[in-house]
Amino acid sequence: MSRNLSAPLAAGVVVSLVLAACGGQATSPSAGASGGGSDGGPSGELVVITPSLTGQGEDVITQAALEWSHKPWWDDVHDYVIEQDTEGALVPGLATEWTPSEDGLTWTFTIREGVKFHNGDTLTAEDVAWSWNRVIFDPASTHTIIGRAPEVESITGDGNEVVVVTRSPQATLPMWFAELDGGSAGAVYSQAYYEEVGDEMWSEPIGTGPYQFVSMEGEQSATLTAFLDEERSDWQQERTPGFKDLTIRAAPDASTRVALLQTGEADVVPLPISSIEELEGAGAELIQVPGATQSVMWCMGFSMNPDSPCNDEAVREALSIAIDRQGIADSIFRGYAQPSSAFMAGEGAHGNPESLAAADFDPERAVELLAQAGFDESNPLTVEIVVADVPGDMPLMPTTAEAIAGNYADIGVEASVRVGEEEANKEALFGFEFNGQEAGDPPTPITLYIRGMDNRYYFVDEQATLFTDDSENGSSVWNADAFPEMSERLRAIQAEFDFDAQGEMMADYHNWMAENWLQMPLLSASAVFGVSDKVGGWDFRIAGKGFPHNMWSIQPAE
Amino acid sequence: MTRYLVGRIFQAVLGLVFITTLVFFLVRLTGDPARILMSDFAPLELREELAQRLGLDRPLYEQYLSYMGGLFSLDLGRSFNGQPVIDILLARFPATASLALAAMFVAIVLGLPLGILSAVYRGSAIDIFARTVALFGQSVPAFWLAIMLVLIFAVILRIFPVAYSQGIESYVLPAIAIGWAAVAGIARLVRSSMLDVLDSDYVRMARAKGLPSTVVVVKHAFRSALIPVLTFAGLVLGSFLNGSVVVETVFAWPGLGKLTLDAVNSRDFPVVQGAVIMIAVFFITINLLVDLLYAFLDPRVRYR
Repeated sequence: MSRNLSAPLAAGVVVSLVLAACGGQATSPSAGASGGGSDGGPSGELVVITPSLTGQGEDVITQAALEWSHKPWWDDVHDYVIEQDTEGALVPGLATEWTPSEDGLTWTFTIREGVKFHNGDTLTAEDVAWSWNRVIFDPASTHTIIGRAPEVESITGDGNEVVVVTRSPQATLPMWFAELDGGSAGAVYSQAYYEEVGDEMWSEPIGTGPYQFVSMEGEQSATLTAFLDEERSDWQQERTPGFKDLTIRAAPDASTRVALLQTGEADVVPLPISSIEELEGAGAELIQVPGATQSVMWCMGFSMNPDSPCNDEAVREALSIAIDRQGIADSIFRGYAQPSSAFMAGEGAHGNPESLAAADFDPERAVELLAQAGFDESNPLTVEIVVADVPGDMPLMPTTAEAIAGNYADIGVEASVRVGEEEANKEALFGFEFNGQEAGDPPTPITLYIRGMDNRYYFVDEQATLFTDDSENGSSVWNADAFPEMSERLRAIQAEFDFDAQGEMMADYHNWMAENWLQMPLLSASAVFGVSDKVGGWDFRIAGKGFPHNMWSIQPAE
Repeated sequence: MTRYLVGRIFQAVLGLVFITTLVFFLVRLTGDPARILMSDFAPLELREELAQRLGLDRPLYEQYLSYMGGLFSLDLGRSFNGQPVIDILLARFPATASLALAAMFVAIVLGLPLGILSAVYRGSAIDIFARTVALFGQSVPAFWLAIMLVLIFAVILRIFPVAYSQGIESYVLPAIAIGWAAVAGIARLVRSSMLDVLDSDYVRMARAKGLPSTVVVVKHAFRSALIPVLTFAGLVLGSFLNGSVVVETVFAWPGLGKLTLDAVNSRDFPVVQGAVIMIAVFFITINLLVDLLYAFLDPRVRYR
């Protein structure tokens, strides 16, 4: 019998090794010298780690779920009509300018001439119109921007102009297609290439970006190389990458990412807050991008259930000022976060209320306010904090919720924390399942819902949809009928075509929200990246979701 | 034997149908994919359109019958992102299968000798060592072991790569992380089986006849002791073939475990169903093969 068993055993070992040899692809990450090539062009290889990459061959234009996991490398292969600078302001990308018509129903984008795709074709306004039409109107599209479809009449390209006609004035339309505020909706693709290769475009993409696609290995890595065609336009030549080759690899586990940096197998690594101190102590080079993600807490009973204690402004204020935001930022986030004064704003964001301070931590006043509202030791207020741990979003949200529950316990509020799965929480939120979302619900426990968000995600549209009665989805947080001023303010912002004036109106809106304690902004956290000694400068711009971005601008160290 | 074989195959098919039905209905209790696939802010009518396109607006029994009908022609349907499920699963299978075999190799190569030596030298330092290894293997969580292996062998000693499937050396750490618990299981099982056999009359007889100790242990005791180990090893291999979410995550390994977890999180029903069916097929097939092998090795089973 030993012979009978040894044969399959040996076969198993052999098959294992053969499969190992076939399945693996020997690579030498981080290989290559840094610095410019002998001809002055880029040289060397940069290895960048990201938490996830999506699979090869998936239609990234129309799949909303894919946009953030593709974006780390997709944006270095493709360009946007509108880009955003470090302050979040809209700056020219493939378009040199964009202007609204007097009636506000038409936006005209002027497209740069002579821009080349990686296959040598010249970019046209028709390519832009085709890309945008597909993401908005394709029946297969599940992209975030599809919510705008009912508002868009047509998108056409002619000469070097793209014309977008809408059914109502849309002052914020450029943000729909902007590089960061618009997710990946505004990326431009070659219509001719798609007609030639069909869905193969997703596994062999071409764009006009600083890097061109070389290969993708499943969901493990994507390999790019600098686009150095001499025929490329001056604008493209100005965006020549600092490194010749770029490899983006996925590592979902934070400790793995740290290990990759420590062993020199990676050059740019998004770091978890828990490992920052250790790496700092070891002398690692860190790059901090403030205000990458943000969190807020909403009282679910507020304005939707007449019996909810949250209808009393004193209770809303008490629940907000009882939170020790600075303490949470210093202890849980180890200084890599700061108290937040407004939600979907933040340092550098368009319309950020610069003069608005975060709510002061004042537990004594909170106790007084609760007593005014009839809650004390003999009649304690009860709350349930609902939260989810969302990878890639605002970090440490469940721990933050626990800390808030501790703050509440200190003022006599009985708080429990319900950590759920993100999508299940959303289902319940939009399904009006939380206590307090409907009239007739018991007044307590109050549901306090924590939501994380990146700072810049077309603020106005999102707020308008969430907080007004314009949409079928609306009113899951507040009953807009109870706050007509909120809807009026948001609609006024959407109708303001002067960008600066629009920003001021947004700041006013945030101030008004804070004065009335309509929501509880919590914290704004930094994205932190560990970098190897190969990395010199990096024009990082803004990092929603904390992923590496704009990697073509990474320059080799001297 | 034929009757036994037919009976076992019939049971296997029945089990598969039951699991498929169960998973089909259970995943539909977890949430609305149209809500997840669409933006939070998409109008209701667009979400309804998406649900219609995905066939989720049809009555549940229609969806079920259509799915089961597809299974007969080996059609596992399409992922909600449009790709055929079978292609997605097959793309991940080599990574999981090769790692499973490597982990099995680790489990057997370490577990068998440890178990034998522990039994033969009962009460000695070797036995204590083997039992300590077994205790350690069965009590240490895989994720912790995986992280420690990376820390020691990749970060400090720089012997093996941190992560990714990139050559034979990259299999060592994940294979140990996955296989370690099985090393412990196999060692314990072999030890106890060997102790039973070593105390049996026919082994005492063999010794009394003057056979060398190695021959007694390897030829007589080990052969008999191996039968229960076979069942255990079959189950272990089945579980390895499912992929390990934790180990695949730590080592950024592109296998079935991580795929299944991602599909559950994104409510990609067809992929979840396909993955569960694939896992069920592995388990049922391996169990069937083990049972048949058992029957082949032990005549008593054949005639029961």
